[in-house]
Amino acid sequence: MKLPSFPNFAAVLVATALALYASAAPVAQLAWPGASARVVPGEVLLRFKLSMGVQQRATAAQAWGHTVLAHLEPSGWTRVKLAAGQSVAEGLAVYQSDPQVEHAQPNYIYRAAAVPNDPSYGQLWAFRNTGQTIASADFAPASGITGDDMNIEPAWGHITDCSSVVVAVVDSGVNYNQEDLAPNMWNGGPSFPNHGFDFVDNDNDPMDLAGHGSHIAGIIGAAGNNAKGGTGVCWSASIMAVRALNAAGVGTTATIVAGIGFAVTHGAKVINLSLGGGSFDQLMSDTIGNAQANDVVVVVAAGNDGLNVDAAGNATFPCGLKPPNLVCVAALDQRYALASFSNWGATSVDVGAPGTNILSTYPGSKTTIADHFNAGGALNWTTSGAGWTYAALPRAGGGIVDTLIDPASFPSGTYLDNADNRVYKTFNLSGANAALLQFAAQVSILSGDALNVNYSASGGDPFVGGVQLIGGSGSTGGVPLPFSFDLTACTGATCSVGFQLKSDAGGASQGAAIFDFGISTLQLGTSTYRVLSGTSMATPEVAGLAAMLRAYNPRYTYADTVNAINNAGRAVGALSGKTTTGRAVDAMASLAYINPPTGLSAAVQ
Amino acid sequence: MRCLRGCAALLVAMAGLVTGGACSQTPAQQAPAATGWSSSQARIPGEYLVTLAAGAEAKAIADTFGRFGIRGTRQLGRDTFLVTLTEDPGPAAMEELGRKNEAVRSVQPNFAYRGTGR
Repeated sequence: MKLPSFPNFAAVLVATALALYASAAPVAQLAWPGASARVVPGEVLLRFKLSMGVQQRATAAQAWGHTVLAHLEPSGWTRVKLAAGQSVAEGLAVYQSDPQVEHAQPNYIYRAAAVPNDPSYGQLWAFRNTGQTIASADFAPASGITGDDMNIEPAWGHITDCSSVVVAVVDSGVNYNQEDLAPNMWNGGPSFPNHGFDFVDNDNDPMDLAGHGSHIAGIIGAAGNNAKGGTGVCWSASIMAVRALNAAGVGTTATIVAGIGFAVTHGAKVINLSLGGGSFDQLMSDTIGNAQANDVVVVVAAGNDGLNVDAAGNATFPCGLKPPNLVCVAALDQRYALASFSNWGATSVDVGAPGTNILSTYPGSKTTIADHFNAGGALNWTTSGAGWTYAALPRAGGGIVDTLIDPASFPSGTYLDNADNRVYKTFNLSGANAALLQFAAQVSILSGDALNVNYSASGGDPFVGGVQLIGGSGSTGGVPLPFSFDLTACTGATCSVGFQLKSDAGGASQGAAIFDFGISTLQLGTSTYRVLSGTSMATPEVAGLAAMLRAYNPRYTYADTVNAINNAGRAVGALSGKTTTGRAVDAMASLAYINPPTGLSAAVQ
Repeated sequence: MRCLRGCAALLVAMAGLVTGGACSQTPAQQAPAATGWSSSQARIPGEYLVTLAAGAEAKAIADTFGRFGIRGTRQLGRDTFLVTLTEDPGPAAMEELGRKNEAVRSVQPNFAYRGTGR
């Protein structure tokens, strides 16, 4: 087949393409950022192939009836004036089909980069990394490399208000009274006066009793430029609080799919899921598929196990699901290395984003009541029945750990048959809005016997009229495991917590060892901020960006948004081969990204 | 020597997942406790998500799984219910029973998820 002479043929192709484009669904309209006078009219910027000299570039432009205005050395870009009456869209379409051109983009109009007046802005390295040291850092390194950030300040020159796009934080709830969150909460009307819903307790008060959700909400949309705290990716936002994780930060398929369903039904266009589980979950997959059908972007965390989640047995979900509306996010540190805790996967994880030492909003102040089971080496908990004793045992890795054990010979001996051994203590948790019981346990209990953990808000023996938190037989596999339980129902002056080893006559096993015992309480406030790390923190950086993109381009579909996030990021060595894109998110580049036309066809005759 | 291993590299325990409000008939503080101390728990013991075939009546749940003692049910979507059992036969047995009843479209465990903050 012989092609017509190049310029004319190409012009026909372009005209055809534009005609097809214009008649496609609304999404397919040419909608680069700045379609309304945010670019210099009649001009484009071109990067020709490296081998092309100045004269060749001029000739190539002239072949389209264009004029070179300037060669932007040493960048190698060329500023070109289009033909009279030709739009920027038409000009870009011409060069996108020109094999001599590697990249074409509008000549954007930039404003001075916007910087908010919030007092803690200097600590937000994700937005401006100056190599600053982060106070109260919880991850090393605590200082970074200038420029290793989301490149968001130029984007703020174009948009800071994302409030037209509802972002659902499906998490532990949000403290909607926090000073930097209150202005940016979703307006749920009279049906949802607290800006969302609580699927843990099934009521319309999604108050955060864990801290996780409020921190995430602030990364997405802490009010910016209000001279308080810091700022989110979006200075103005519409954050829908959906409580699906309890005070221990734990949720279930049931609570989370209900939360996603609520978000979709009530108009969220971006959903943040900073959570994960280890099993393929069909109902979760179907629910995220329904979000896709409703044009919703879902941004999820890669998880914190430091594993390749593509490897057999390592998969984490929903990151491991691969619907096109889902973006899975790894965490980068302040030097743009993959954070040591961050999961990664060349086919599962899409992009990286700042996820260490992230300062954000927090629901209140936390206090931990640690208990060491002894006074002067003697057990100081109340006992009933023989069995429970205190022991100072060596901890692998060094040191001594205060431990509650039954039997006294744990782990070399076995507990007694027909035992009902109880040990408990009463704590004063008054004034707390939430409480969390945490301990480590190494357990081996035969079937038919039980190790029970109970509490009682009345104090005294929690195995008389108390509430069971966990119980039964089983083994932790010869190693201690951490356990945590929501103790919020026990936040009074007399909260007793206890352990019971109960056995029958049918033989016995090693028993139990309990250590690292503590109760952490949360007292809600309105002006608390905190530094946290995790892929949970990287995820809302991307969810916020998704909201920004959709606010800036109201016609963007989920696919346009995901493309702009994934394809416009900055190539980062640490992510190469470890994510689908090898890129870290770049807010300005995503804002400037032009989604390629889809569904084009042309007949050659 | 009696020695406890360090906690630095512990597996995430999936115990303690039962939260208040799991069953509409059951007050939060009386929710059935998780049973067992297994390190491999990634689901809530005794809790299953049952999706009925279109047009099937909710009593199909009791007909199919009632032998295990139904502590509570809660409707999550049009055809999907969270079912809490007194006795947990395990996912394989539940799925097998579901396959035998055409009123049941699918059965799966109620999986556990955790926030991914550190």
